[in-house]
Amino acid sequence: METLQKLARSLRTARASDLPADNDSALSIMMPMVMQNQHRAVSELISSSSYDVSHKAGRAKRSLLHVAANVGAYDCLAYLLRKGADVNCQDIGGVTPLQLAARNGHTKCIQKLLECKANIHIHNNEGMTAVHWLASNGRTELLGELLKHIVDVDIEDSQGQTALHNACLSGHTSSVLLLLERKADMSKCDHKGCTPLFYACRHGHQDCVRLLLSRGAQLLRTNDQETPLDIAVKNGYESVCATILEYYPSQLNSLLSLVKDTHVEESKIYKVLRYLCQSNSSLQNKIMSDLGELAATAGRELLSLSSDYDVAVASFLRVIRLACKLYVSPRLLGNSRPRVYTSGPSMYGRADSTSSRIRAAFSGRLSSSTSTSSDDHESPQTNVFAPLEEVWEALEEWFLLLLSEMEDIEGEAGIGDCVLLDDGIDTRVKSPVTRHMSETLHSTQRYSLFSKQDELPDTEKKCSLSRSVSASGRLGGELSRNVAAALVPYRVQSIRQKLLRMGSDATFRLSQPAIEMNLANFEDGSVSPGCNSPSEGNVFGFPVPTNMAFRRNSDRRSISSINSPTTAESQPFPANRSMVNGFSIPERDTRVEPHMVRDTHARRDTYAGQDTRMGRESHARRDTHAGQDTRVERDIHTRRDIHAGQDTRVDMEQCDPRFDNRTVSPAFSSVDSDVITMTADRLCVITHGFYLCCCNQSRWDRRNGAPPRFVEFVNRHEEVLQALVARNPKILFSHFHFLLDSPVLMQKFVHVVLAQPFEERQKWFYENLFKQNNQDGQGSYNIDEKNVIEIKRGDSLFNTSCEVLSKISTEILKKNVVVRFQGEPGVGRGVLKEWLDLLSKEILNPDYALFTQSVDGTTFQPCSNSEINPDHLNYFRFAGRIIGLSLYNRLHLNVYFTRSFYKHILGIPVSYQDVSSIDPEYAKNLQWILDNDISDLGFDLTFAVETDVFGTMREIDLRSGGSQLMVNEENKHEYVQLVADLKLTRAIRPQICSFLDGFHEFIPHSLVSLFDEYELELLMSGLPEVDMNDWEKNTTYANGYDAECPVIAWFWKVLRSLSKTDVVLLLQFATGSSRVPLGGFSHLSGTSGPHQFCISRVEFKPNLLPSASTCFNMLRLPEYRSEDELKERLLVALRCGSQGFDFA
Amino acid sequence: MSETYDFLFKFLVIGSAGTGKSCLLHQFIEGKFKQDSSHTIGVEFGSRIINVGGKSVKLQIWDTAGQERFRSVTRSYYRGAAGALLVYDIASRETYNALTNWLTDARTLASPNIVIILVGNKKDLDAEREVTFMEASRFAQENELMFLESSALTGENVEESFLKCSRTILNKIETGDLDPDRMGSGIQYGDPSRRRTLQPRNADGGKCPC
Repeated sequence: METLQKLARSLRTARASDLPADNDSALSIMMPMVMQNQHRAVSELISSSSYDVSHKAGRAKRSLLHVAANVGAYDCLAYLLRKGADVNCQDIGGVTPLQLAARNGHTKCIQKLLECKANIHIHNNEGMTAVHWLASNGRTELLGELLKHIVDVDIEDSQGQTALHNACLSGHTSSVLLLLERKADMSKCDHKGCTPLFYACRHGHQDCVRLLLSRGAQLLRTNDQETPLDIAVKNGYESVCATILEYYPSQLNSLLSLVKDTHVEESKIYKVLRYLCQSNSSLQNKIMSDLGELAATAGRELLSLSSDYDVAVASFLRVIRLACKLYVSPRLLGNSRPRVYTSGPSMYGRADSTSSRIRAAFSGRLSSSTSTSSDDHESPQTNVFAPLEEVWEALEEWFLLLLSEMEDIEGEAGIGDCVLLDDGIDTRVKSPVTRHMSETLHSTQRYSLFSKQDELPDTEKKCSLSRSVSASGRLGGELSRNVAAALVPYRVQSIRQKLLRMGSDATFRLSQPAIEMNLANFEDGSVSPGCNSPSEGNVFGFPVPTNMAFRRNSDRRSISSINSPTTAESQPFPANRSMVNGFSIPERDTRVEPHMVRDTHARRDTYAGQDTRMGRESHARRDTHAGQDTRVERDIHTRRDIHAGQDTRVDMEQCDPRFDNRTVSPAFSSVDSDVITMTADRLCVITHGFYLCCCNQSRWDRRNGAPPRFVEFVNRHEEVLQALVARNPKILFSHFHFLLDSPVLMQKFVHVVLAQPFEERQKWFYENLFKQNNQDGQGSYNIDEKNVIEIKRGDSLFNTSCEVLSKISTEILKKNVVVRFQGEPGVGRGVLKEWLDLLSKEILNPDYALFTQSVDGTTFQPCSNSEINPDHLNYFRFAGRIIGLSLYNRLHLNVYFTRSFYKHILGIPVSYQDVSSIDPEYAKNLQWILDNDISDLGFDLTFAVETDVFGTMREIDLRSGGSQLMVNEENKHEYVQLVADLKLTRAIRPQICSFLDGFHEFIPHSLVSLFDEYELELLMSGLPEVDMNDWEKNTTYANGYDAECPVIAWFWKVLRSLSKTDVVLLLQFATGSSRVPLGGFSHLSGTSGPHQFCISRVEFKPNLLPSASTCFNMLRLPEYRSEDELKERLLVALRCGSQGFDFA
Repeated sequence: MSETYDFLFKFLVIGSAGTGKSCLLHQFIEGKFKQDSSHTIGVEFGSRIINVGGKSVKLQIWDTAGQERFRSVTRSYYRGAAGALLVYDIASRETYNALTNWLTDARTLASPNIVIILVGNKKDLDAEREVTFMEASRFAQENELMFLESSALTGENVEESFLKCSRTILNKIETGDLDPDRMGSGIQYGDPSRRRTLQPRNADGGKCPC
């Protein structure tokens, strides 16, 4: 009966009516009921059973009371408690019902539990009590309630944290307020030493922070020695930082010291500082000036040799960068946001023609009325850079010191056993001085080979060259000429340096021949003037061949007058020695000084413009600050520095140029070389910092590529900087990145860079190329179908490719470019190469009128008439992209451009000599005009040129009013230059620009400038395989040579022993291009049809270098006396050909 | 991590080569004598916080090279120094004779208010003494310098040199002769000294007027 009733009841209520006997199952049945607060059912069930109300079950070991409290089932909870459930039972985590109710904010339940004497102080296993939970979840009211029952408001959990900590952690301001009112201890530290304030700061809870601070919270350190301010900065909470500073203004110093701390992200501290500067101008003043001081101290610490290099470098550069960023940040500038200029690989985003796109615009003076406050009349900005001036001064002094160190080191070289100069030298002259000369000669030649071997002498030795040459000058014409001739490449170099100093930009207007002329005008008066007019021959008295092929005279260095705008003043070649093309050196006594005193030299102090003499043992310099003249006695020789624009004289001290005469104190000699090695790296970093500051400090013309102040600096310390780069060329990619960015600066260092082996530079090129794009050059192997370029073979290949490519962004192309030919399954590198090959050939298709051929048909450059194709600029951009893309993917193209076009890509100015690469005959004629007097020849040339435009003759003015202006002796240089400019540049300028736009999308200009115009060809078209046998078989000989001659045998032997790069360089040297003709050397062609390679004999003269005549593929080889000599001379010509010229 | 100090003073250590400047610095900072000492190249740096007159002062010390060739480099550090130790070797007459040069440099290049103390180092080499205490003392007096003889080897008077110099500077600040806020004074405020009191803000939450 009862059973039936029960059954009925159960059915009616849709639930069990009895609890099972075991408590666990009973609990699991009742749990859902409790959760839904079905207290009646629960009470029924429980009262009719022997269930233990405090039973805990389940994985969590919770009782029903827990369940009720957790969900806030008040009635159930009340019932259970009435039934005697254990109010303080804890589950497996030590959690009580009270805690659960607190955590979930069930007010009534809490009150009930409290009524039933729930113990507030019980912790769970993690030490949390109810109070902690309430604080953590911001249940302020409840917290208030509970707190009434609590004795210790600072009860700690297992981590030592109080409710206040929790409230601050979560940022519940009202709870914090409540707790504070209940006298919670603000200074209580948890086990990590963190105070509530610390947590509030860590999570950026601005209001909590303010509240705590207003109640007097202190900035206590954690166990890790962090203060709340530190953490706020680290996490970039700028308003929190501002608040802290309101209450603790003195903390500004600590904040600023975080600038140097590498554990703080730069962006975060910048954010904080910028906010502070923006919000408060007096704060801004303080910050800027303190930052400046900080930077200056960091700089000095870097210069201090005992500091940790890496740490010091990182700190210094950080501070500088931050200072610069803050300097230009648009606080008080109403209008446009200037962009900060920060160089360095990390800042490299797009590959673009860098220098032209960099902006560093802002206003230096705060004149704008949009400033937020009125009392910053004195620009705080200048405060930033003012303390740094002292560091820059120190930098200048260091460089001067290094220079003198370098110049002294050469003295250490000593005379070892050396090879006496060759026969032909007057034996009277074979004194120790000669030995000195030959020793120097040897070292320069070794240097000249730019070998990688460790025997490479200090690059500093280069500085001794000018000395050696001048010393040799007094030995007599013959010797000096020979010595001078051998040293030609370097002389040009060092002469240029001197000439550069003479008239600032004057040298830029010197053309190569002018420089050559000036070899005689070398201010040390070394070489007796051979002849000064071109018709007589060169300075060395060698006859000048009529078709003087100036091999590889990189006009980049001469920046020839041809391209400079102010050529109006170009004068005829100097008739007398003191006139130099473009400017004049003051007349002075050039019969100088037999002695080159190496021991001692004084330099004119450039800044002060005063005379400083520096003795060697004891340097004294005219102090610029003090303005006093301190001199040191013995061993002085003066060399007035040319910056001041004054004469250089070499003062005679009775001194023997032999270095073994110098007394060097032992202490010095051992330290000498150390100074350079120890300080070089640090000084490079300081220079980098100086560059950053110069860039941001004032406006500068972006086109120049570098701020004027910095350019002056580089000019002043050229030699030292070159030595620094030579010592470690990789700094080009780090601290000296500005060189790559700025062609103007790079000019002076190009020879140092080029001195590095081609393969090395190629390696750097790709390393940095991919680094800039965050890639490793491997390319991903996942083919994303959307990005596959599908191309149809056939006539429309070109056009479809154009279209397709224009739709895909450069980024994607750089990441991974996949090409497939329609209907063919293949994808991969081979297909890519084929496609690019086809495209590059198509571009050259004369039907498109995009490119024209050089006269010998081997090379191409943009066609000046390409505008016949209305879309031509787009096509050029496309061409540039293709070439760039190929290069990016390390694919070589079978396309060869003219030398001048390669120069355009590199940004090297082109000169009239480059005309020979497109039209050798015409070039010869131009040269002839220059070399000969045209006054009476009746040519009737005007400054206008007839050109053939697709059959129609048009006259183009070279300059305004050109057709009226006659060409005469005085202006023929200008004429030649203008006409070359026309042919090479002007007519094709827009095309070149478009091409470069496309090209630079893939390859940044700064990287490609690592190469010269010859190597660029190798880079783009690769090193061909040269079949030596084929070459030898198809060579003819002239002027007395034949295949049997020993010299010829040596030649081929040497050639076979050379590296692949050198062989290709020789090929370029002799034929003008690195291209091996299709079909082999038998198909080699010259200007006028097929022209096999020819070696022509030249009579031997000491130190003569081979030369070439590329129109005829002719190598003029002097009849050297030994194989070694041949090899050595050949290599000199190859490697250093670009630095000078040679005659053979 | 920041240290707290009331003031920061920039100090120079100048003098002829070989007088023991680097050793003095090392002794002062590390408390030991530096056995293997080589010529300083350029300028070295060291710092230490000391207690002077109840205030904590951070000394930023630049130890310059004495060799002539580094003269122009070291000169650029003179500006902005609050105090200087002018060091000579009591066992080397030459270094004493050169003092005038160094002094001139300091007076002309550094701030006119720079506090200089003359330090006769290597006091332990009494047997080889070439400069008497008296004459050096007189020289100091004539040139308005403080004077001490010290020994970096034994540590005698090393701290005192720095302390004495610092104390003088501190006095000058307190009397108003030196103004830390002026740029180039070689003195900076540290943390707490910005505030008149060291107590945190009062409980009423109001801002202190200073």
